[in-house]
Amino acid sequence: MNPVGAVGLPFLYLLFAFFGAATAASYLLRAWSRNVGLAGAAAALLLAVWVWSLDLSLPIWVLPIGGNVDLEAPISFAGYSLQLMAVNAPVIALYLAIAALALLLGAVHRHDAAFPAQVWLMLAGYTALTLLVGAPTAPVNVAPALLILLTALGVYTLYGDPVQANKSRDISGALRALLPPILAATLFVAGGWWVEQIPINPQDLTITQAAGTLLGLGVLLLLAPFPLHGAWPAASESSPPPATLLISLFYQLAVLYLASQTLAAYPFILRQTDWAVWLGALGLLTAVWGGVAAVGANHAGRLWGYAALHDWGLIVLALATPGLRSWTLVLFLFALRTVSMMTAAVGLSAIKQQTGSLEMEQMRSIGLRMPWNSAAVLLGGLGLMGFPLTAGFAGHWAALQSLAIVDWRPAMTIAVASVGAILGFVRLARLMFGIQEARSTARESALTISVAVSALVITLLVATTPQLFSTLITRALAAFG
Amino acid sequence: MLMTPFELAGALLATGSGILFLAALAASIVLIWEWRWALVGSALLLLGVSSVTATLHGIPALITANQWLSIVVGILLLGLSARFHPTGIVTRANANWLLRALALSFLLSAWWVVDPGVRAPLFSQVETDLLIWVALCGILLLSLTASPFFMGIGFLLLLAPLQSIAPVLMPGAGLSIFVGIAQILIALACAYLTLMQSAPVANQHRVTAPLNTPVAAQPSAAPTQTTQPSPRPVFRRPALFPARSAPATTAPSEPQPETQTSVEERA
Repeated sequence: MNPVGAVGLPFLYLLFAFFGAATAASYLLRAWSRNVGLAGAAAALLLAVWVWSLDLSLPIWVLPIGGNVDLEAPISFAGYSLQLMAVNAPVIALYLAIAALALLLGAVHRHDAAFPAQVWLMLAGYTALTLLVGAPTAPVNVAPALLILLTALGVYTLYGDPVQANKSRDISGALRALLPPILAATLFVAGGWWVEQIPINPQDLTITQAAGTLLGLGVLLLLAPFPLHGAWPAASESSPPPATLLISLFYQLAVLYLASQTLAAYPFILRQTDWAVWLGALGLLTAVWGGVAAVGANHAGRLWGYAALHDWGLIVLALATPGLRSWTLVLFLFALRTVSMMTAAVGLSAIKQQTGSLEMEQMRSIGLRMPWNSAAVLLGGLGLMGFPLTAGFAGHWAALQSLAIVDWRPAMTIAVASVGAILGFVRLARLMFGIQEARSTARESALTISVAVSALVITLLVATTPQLFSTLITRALAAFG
Repeated sequence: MLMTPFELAGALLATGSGILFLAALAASIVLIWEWRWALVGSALLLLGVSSVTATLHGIPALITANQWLSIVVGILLLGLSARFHPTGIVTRANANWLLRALALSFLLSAWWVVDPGVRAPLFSQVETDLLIWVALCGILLLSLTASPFFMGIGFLLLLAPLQSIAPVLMPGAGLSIFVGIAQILIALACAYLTLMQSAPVANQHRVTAPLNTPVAAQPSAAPTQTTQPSPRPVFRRPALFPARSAPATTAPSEPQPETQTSVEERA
C-alpha cells in the first residue's frame, strides 16, 4: 500500500469507470452483438494480461500527458474500502481471462444480445468483491452477503435471451444457486459476532470453537458440495453454455478466494473444529455423486454439469488439508477445470446453435456432421473426469496420488466414480458418431471450426505439457497460499 | 417511553401468542399454497419478524424502516409479476396439501425430538426458534416447487434470519442495507422469471373435432332450413376392438368421439 496516501488519480476509479462504460456501450450497441462481444473479449484479455503483469512495487504510474495514476490507492465509501494489492491482482486477472473466454464464446455463437453487458456487470461485481479489503467488520464476514447480490444478478445471465429462450424449460436451477450464499451469510454474521468476543475472553476456548464451527460451516455451504450442488447441473442443462461457464467459474473462484481469506484470518477453524473431516467427506460424496449421476444423464448439458461436479468434488477434497501444497493442487485443478470447461462449452454452444437442443436423442450422428465441435465436447468433458490425454489428466492424477498416500480407499472410490462418468461420455460418443438415422443436416461453419480447433489445440497442449501452468500457479499462490 | 410505529407493532407480536401467530402464518403459506395468500402472509410475517426484533433489541427506526421498505418492494414486485402474467401464474406445487401437511408435521416432530438447542447470540430461545421455523418453511417452499413465484417467497422467508440478526450482531456494518438490496434483487429476479414463464398447462383445454372436419371449418351451430340432412361424420371405432371396426355411422344424437385434437389457449 502506498504509505503516503493517494498520489494522483486512484487506478480503481479508472478500472470501474471502464467497466461501467463497457457495460453501457455493450448494452447500447447490442444490435451488433458479435462485434461488441469480440471487442469486449479482446479488451478483457488485454486487461487480464496487463493486470497480471503489473508491478505493484512501483505503484505510481506517470501518464505521458502529465498527471499520475496511483495503482494502489484505495477507494472508500461508508467504511468499506477497495484496494488493488499484490495478493488480489492475480485473482482479478483470472476473472478477466474467464470473462474474455465467455465473451468470445458468446460472440462466436451469437448467444444473447445482452450477454456482453451482463458479463461486464458481473465482472465489475466480482472484482469489487475481491478488492474488498476494509469494512466496518472483517471483510470476510460481509463477503457472503455481497455474494448473494452477485448470484441474484447472475440469474438473468443464466436465463439467457428471453426471445430465444425455451420458456417451458425448468428455470429453477438458476435460482437454486442462491441457496448456499443465503444460508452461509447468516452463519458468517453469527460467526463474526463470536470472533469479536474473542479479545474479551481469550482464554475461553468455547468462543473460538463456536466461531470456528459457524465460519467453517459457512465456508462449507458456500462451496456447495453434495447435496447443495443441485443448481449447477440444472443450470448446465437449462442455461446457455457460455452463461453457465461464466457464472459457475466466477462463483467458484470467488468462493475459493473467500475460503483462503477466511482460513488465513481465522486459523482456529482448522485447529479447533472438525472442518477438514467434514470437507473431506462432503468432497468425496460430491465427486462420487457427480460420477454416478453422469451415467444416467440423457442431456449433454447435464452430463457436462455432472462431470464438472465430479471435478469440483475433487477440488473440495483437496481443500480438506489446507497448506501450501494443497492450495497448489487446488489452483492447478481449477486452471485445468477452466480449460476443460471452456473446451466443452465451445462444442456444446456450436451444437446447440445448430440443433437447438442438447438432448442426446437430438444429437444422433451429429459427430459425423460437426466432428470438430463434437470432439471438443468429448475432450472437454473427459478432461473434467481426468481421462488420459485430456487437460484434466495431470491434475486428477496428482490429486489421486496425494490422496492415496494418506488413504488409498477414497482415491480408489473417486477413480471408480470417474469411470461411471466416462461411461456417460462413451454413450454420448456412440450416439454422436454412430451411423444411425441422420436427423440433423447441421454443418459446422469455418468460424466455429476454427474456434473448436483452437480449443482442442489448447487442451492437447495443456494435456501434454501441464507445466505451462507453473508460472500461473506460482503467482496465484500469493493470493491463496 | 416514546415508541416508534415499528416498535408498537412489535410490542403486540413479541408475546407468546404473537410469536405463535407468526409461526402459524409461516406454516399457512406452505399449507394453503395460494399465491394471494402467500403474498399477504409473507408480507405480514416478514414485517412482524422485523418489528419483533426492533422491539426486543432496540434497533434504530431508520434500519427497521429500511427493512420494511425492502420487504414491501420485494412483495410488490412478486405481486405485480403474478398480476401481469399474460396467461395466469403457474404456482402448482409438486405435492398435494396432505403431503405438505405431513412434511410440516415431520419437521415439527423432528425438531421436538432432536431439540438441537441452537440459539443465536443475543437472541432468546423463542426468537431463535421462530427465525429457524420461518427459514425451514422457506426451505420447504423451495423444495416443493419449481415455480419462480413461490421460490421468491421461499427465498424471502429464508432471508428472514439474516435480516433479523444482521443489525443486532453487527450493528455498524451496514449489513442491513445489503440484505435489503438482496431481498429486492431476488424478488426482481423471481418476478422476471415468473413473467418469462410459459402459459400454464392447466389453462389449456382440448378442442375436439372429427378427423375429416378441420377445426376451423366446423359447420355453423345455427339451424339450417335445408331439407337435405347435413353429412354425418364417419365414426371409426378404436383399434382396441378390431372385430367391431366395421364401417359405421353415428346417429346425430350420439356423442362424437375424439378423433382429432388441437390445443387452444383459453382467453
